[in-house]
Amino acid sequence: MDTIAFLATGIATAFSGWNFVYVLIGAFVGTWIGMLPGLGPSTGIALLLPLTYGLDPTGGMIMLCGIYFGSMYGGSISSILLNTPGDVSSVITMLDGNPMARRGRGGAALFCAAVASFIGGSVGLVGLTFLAEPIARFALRFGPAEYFALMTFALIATATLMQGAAVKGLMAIVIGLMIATVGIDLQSGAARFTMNSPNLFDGISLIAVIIGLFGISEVFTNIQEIMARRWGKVETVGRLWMEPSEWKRCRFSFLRGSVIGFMVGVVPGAGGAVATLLSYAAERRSSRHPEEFGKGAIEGVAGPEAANNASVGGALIPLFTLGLPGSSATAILLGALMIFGIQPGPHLFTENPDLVWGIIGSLYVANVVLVILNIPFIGIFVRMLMMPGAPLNAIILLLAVTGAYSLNNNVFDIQVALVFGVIGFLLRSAQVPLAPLVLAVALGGGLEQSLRQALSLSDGDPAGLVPSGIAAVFLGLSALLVLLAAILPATRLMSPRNRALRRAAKKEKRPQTQ
Amino acid sequence: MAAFSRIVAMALAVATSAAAAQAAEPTRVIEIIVGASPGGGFDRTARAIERVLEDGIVGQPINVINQPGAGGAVGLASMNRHPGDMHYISIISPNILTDELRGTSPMTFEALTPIATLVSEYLCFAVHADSDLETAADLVAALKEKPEAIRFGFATTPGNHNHVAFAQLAGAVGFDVMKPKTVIFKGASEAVTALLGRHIDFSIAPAASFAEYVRSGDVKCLAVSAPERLGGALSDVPTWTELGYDVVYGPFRGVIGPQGMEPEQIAFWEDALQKMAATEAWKKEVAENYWTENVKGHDETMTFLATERDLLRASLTDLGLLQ
Amino acid sequence: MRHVLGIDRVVALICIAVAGLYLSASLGIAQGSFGDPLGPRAFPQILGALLILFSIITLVQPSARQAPATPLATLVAIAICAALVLGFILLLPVVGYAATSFLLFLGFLLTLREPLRLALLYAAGLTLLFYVVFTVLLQTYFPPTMLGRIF
Repeated sequence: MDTIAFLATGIATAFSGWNFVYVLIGAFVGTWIGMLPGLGPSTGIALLLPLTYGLDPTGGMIMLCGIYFGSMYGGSISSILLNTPGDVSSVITMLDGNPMARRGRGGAALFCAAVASFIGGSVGLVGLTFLAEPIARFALRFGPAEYFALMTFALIATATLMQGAAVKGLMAIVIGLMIATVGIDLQSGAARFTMNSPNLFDGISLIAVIIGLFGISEVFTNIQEIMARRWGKVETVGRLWMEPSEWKRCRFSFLRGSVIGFMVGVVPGAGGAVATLLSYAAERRSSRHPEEFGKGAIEGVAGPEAANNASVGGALIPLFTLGLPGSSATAILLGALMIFGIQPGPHLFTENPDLVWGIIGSLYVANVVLVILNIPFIGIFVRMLMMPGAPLNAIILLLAVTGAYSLNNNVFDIQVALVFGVIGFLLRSAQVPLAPLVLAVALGGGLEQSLRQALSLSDGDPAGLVPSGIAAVFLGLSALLVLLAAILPATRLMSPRNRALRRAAKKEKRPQTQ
Repeated sequence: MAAFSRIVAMALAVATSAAAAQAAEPTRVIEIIVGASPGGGFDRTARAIERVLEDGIVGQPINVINQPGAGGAVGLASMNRHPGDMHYISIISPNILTDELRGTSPMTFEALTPIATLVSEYLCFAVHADSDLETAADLVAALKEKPEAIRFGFATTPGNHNHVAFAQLAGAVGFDVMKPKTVIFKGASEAVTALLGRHIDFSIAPAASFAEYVRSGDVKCLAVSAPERLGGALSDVPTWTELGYDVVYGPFRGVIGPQGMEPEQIAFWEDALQKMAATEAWKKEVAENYWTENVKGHDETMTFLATERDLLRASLTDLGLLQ
Repeated sequence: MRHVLGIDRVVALICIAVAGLYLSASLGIAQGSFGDPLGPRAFPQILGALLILFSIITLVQPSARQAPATPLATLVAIAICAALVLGFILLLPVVGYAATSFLLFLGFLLTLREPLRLALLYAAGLTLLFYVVFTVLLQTYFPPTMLGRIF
């Protein structure tokens, strides 16, 4: 088949001349960059873009793609080991990955992440290779109403991230949405909560928020541990391998996550955040041990990691077939293409097949390289945890601060990170969950704007929110989730077992009240 | 904090400017500060300038620094922290005028030192290739008869060049610019996606944004707001002037320096940029990006900016964006 | 106050205050001029109201198990570290990246009661590492400082 021939040429390109070296450098450097708190794929690619300026377009793009996959994996490393995610997509990995590390299963978590990334990446790339043409046009069916429905669904799915008191999770989501409203409003141009600072016109930078909420507040929390002399070095990382029981639990998670990630990636504008979120929700719903989620359920790492990497393949489809970026990282790749003098558009595949297939080929290669490179390195990465507490946290702190600065070459972002560091510390003490907050910040803008766009286009008619099957499906699913969340606790309360428990508790109490 | 640094910087600048009065050449690395992320319009202009100037016109190395934010205002503020220093320049567009008029930025072009205008980027008025609106005349008729039925979408802010062009069309054709359903997208890609997916009927954007899609047959460009026909994929597209409507508008791109530059410094840059505009390499960049040459020196630029500002004031008032 | 109220209620009160400020600021948002039916004010107002609602619920019914109160010494240490970061922000344009990161490392380690010599050693080593990685390898742009382009 034609496609396979092209793919073969592409993989050959990836090995020709300097290109293989570029892949190696990109993957290696990307992994280290991704480990820095707050630096994930989009910021990693943007930061390392200058490295590629002297290269030819194919070589440059190949290096950037190596960086892309590498930094995704690096982000998982810092999420799992240091509780400081690289960017929004790694936030979800942190929820179960870090508890696993704290229980001494860090090696297994990292290994699982590596395998999941490989499987997800492969599925995504296979999808890109064979399904690019037919799927490309599908993405176009997402207009404002469809986006609103998808974002609503994703936001409701954040409810599955919540542990503990429901009202605190809701507070977290509302606070996140409020943060997302800061800035110049897209539809009207009105300034909202910008306090006359031009730095706030574009809103509060999501990554600065992540760096603050997770990086800096993590350091503050760790100070508590260090000063109370409770800083236990993680004694053992466990074996760098997964137990057979863990493999069994994960096998479908890998596949589920990959498929979900790929499909979400195809929709332009829905990136790693939505992909990992929906995968986590799916894993939780289909798991036999849902109560373990948030405390170290390995499916909570396997699914989202696969989804994250699969979404790359999906996001590249609109980029290569239509010239439209599918996620923030692909948007930077688009910019890179333009800097190299290539005009992305519907003709990219036909006019620059060497470039496109070279990139796809090198992504396959990078995927394999990463798994081979990183599995031996897992031991080294994990030894970082063994460092004494004070210097380790000093490093995290300065990484966070420098990372925040390098986002926009602006010290304002450091201020934002610091403020959110304090806020994060406060919220943690009050047991307000931070992951839903961050996801609400990521999704809030898109949610509100697409709602208002859809209503504008329908002249205020709410029927305009359901103009198509896609919108109806997502809104329907959202309503379903809300109903389930509301009804299930009530039915559980009424179950015979619980009624008996309550009666027993009342009996116990009586002697004490006299 | 920022004020403190600025005061110290100005003190140093005053001390050194006496010595700099005779110097009219850069003596170290030059920085082009771009108020946008890599890959966008501003950035491409800056890198085009860097590529051509570094090739022998200016003796010093040039760096392009990205400091995005507030549509360019953050980058301009950053550049302006080096008053009187010719080693810092930046790129301007109508954003600087719109921000001043709308009060979103305290900076005015008179407070900085505009050096030159280089190009204008004219706009394509586009519909989906399968749209019922097959010619500009169809579009005009639809806008006059039932403006409320038209779904208009564009990027990136209300009151920007795309929106102003629409207001000018409204004035020339005779429909109420507030009537069509108007939605704004975060970036050019989102607007193109919406048009391709037929979620909007009609969009306006710089020609380069649509050119590839016109070439592939997905988008039809009904007219351009240029003084003359554009080339490349758009050579068959009529201008509004040809069609009988006086709509000639497109965002300019120019070069600006910080406040307090000496006439010799301005003259150096004017000269360098004019040399650059005459090179083959530059003309190639212009053609590839669907720009149109519009070279003006310092004095002409000052007058040009003032007239543009008046024009914008009128359009923004029509759009209800000025109180 | 914290020990009496419990951290839940303190945070709830802070949220109510913030929501109040947010809502009053939202009254000043200009209304859009063209056809967006919801307008730029609607969403913020709904959110502000929701936050007040949820905060009141938390105020009235805080979680049963509260995290133990943080000892004062720790809070002081955290405050000092926050101040160190603030100092970093203020000094970065003045003395440059190398100097400020050294001071940040040193201050942080000393606050955590590391012995002086060890702290100096760590700080020096880490500053060198960070300087090389960020300035040389990653070419991060730092604006030239008052002291010239050295740092």
